[in-house]
Amino acid sequence: MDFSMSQEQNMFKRETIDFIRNNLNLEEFYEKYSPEMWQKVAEFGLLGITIGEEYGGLNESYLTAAIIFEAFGYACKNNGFTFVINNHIWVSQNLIYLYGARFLKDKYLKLMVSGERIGAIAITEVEAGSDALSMHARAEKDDQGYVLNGNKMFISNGPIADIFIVFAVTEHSQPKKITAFVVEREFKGVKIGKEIGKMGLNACPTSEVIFNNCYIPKENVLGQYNQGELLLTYALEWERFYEFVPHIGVMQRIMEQCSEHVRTRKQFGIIIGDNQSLSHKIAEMKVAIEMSKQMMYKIAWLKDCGKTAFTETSIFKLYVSENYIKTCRDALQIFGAYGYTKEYDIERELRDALACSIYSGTNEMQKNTIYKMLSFI
Amino acid sequence: MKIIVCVKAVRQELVFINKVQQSTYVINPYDLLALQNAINIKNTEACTIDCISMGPDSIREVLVKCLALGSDNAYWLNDKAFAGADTIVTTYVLSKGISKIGEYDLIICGEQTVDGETGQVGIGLAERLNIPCITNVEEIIDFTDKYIIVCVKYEDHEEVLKIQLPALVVFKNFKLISNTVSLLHLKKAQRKEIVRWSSNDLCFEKNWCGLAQAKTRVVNVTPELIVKEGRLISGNAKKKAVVISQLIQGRFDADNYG
Ligand SMILES: Cc1cc2nc3c(=O)[nH]c(=O)nc-3n(C[C@H](O)[C@H](O)[C@H](O)COP(=O)(O)OP(=O)(O)OC[C@H]3O[C@@H](n4cnc5c(N)ncnc54)[C@H](O)[C@@H]3O)c2cc1C
Repeated sequence: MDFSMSQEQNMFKRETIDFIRNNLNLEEFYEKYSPEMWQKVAEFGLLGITIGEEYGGLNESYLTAAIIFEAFGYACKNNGFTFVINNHIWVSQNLIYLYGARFLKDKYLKLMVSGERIGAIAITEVEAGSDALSMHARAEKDDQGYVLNGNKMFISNGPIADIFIVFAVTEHSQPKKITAFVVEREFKGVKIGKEIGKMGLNACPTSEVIFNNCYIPKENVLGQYNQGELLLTYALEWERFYEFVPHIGVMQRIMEQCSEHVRTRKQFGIIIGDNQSLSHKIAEMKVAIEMSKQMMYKIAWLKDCGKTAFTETSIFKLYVSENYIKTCRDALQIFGAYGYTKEYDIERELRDALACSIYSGTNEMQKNTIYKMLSFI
Repeated sequence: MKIIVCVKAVRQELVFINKVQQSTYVINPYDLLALQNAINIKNTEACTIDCISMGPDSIREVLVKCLALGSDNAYWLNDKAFAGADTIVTTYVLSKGISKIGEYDLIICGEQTVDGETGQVGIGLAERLNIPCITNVEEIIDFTDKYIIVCVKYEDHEEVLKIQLPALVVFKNFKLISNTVSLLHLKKAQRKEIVRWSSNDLCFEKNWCGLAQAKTRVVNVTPELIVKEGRLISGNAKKKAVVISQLIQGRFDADNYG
């Protein structure tokens, strides 16, 4: 197994870090979405890393994408903005690219890769969270297409998105059948609810999205009719990988901040890093980063081989999120009262991190999945 | 029309003291400005830009970056025998490389490098190529296929000069921040071939270059740390204003301050 990065990958990584540091770390946008930053990211070419060149993408491997997005998390202090980009790329644009019919690809991909259209995914409902398949949203078929009714909750990018991948019940049999649709914001009957205030990730706006007799042309079925459940598992696989890859980079950034702090802050006449209780916390951060990276390489390899990584991405999501939160929590302790203030960024990092044990399927649900999948191994 | 830009790769810590930049080697900031000027010309005139650099194996990325920034071709003079070259040898190797490239209209150099600080390569190269050279160039004002008009700045005056082509101009300033290039440009640049020439390709004896022929050696380059004397002005705003006004008027009495 070769763990060395190619010169190309190294250059992509470095250029990404330099680009982000020069353009994306504007404090005024830590808590609100910036269309200008979005535009810059699109021009830089980050949106289409794995998308084919015919749609304006770079056609790079999943490993290269992982390396770039780890670097993204490392350099970009605006975790909410990172979330905007990942929602757009991996659970919207990417699904159209991999599972969409030619018509959908031709219609949407160029516009999404160039950043002219922003994507989002809509699965969750008020009464269907972890139990996503109990969803109520339904799409009734007629000659020309489908009539969609229902409310989707906690939709990241909701207030700014132009294109939604929406999952809805299309057959009420037992078990019921689900279909995925590509729905434009401009379609009649789409209403965006007001922005939902959150604890963190505030540069990524969230809202409810309401579909009231929304008419969807039949060409806008994503994947196969009644095969939405399968597509949902694919979508979550991508989400559990690429939305958590940047968190490894964030952990690295926080670890570096902590190392610097414990080497300079003195109490009782010694640097606080000389206390094992603190140095061990940093050692644990390093272990978590390394272990997460190993798993990242494995999943990227599986994906580049065209294989599924259902259990692996569940393990990855669980491991990275628990350690990401722990890293932020420990950083707060290491920084003491300074970490608790608004001036040091640590409190924001922790607020941003906490959501990751919930989105993409809660960590409890990941354990259920991992345990269930044991019987398949 | 063809512009050749001479570029040197220098270690990044000589340019970015706080190591914010990610690469081991970066484009010498003086040459980056030279390249930027060539790109500015290309934005308005039909021309091609060739970058040429003499350097070891590890500088390939710098040439890729030149291509990504807008250079059309990159030539890499790379041979162990070139190691330790001083300005005399560097100008010799570069002149051989440039002659092998063929016809050109303008050569652009930066004034100096941050690792050598000698500032001799531009003029030396012009001498070897037997073309006119203008140093201290601030700006290229006009560019035609017969001549260019440049603005040259000195401490107390500036000159506007017209010079017949082919010629060599040396830019006096430097540019620290390299524009980040898009990933697409970077990918295209990575796919382009970088022409690599050794001493054999340039048809000269190995013992004619490198340390063996160098007449000078830069033993060390250390940045000079200029620490300016500062004074902390304390007190309320009114008191501070009084002190500042005294300082400006040269009436400040340090002994009685406080
Ligand atoms: C920041 C953020 C962004 C989001 N973005 C999107 C988006 O873009 N699109 C979208 O569709 N959704 C999105 N969501 C919603 C997210 O997918 C859901 O919040 C998640 O699936 C959990 O559902 P729930 O919040 O309703 O919790 P519930 O399902 O009500 O769970 C509550 C608690 O019960 C536990 N629990 C429930 N069932 C079980 C079980 N069987 N075994 C063990 N424990 C169980 C859970 O683990 C959790 O601790 C987002 C959520 C957040 C926080």
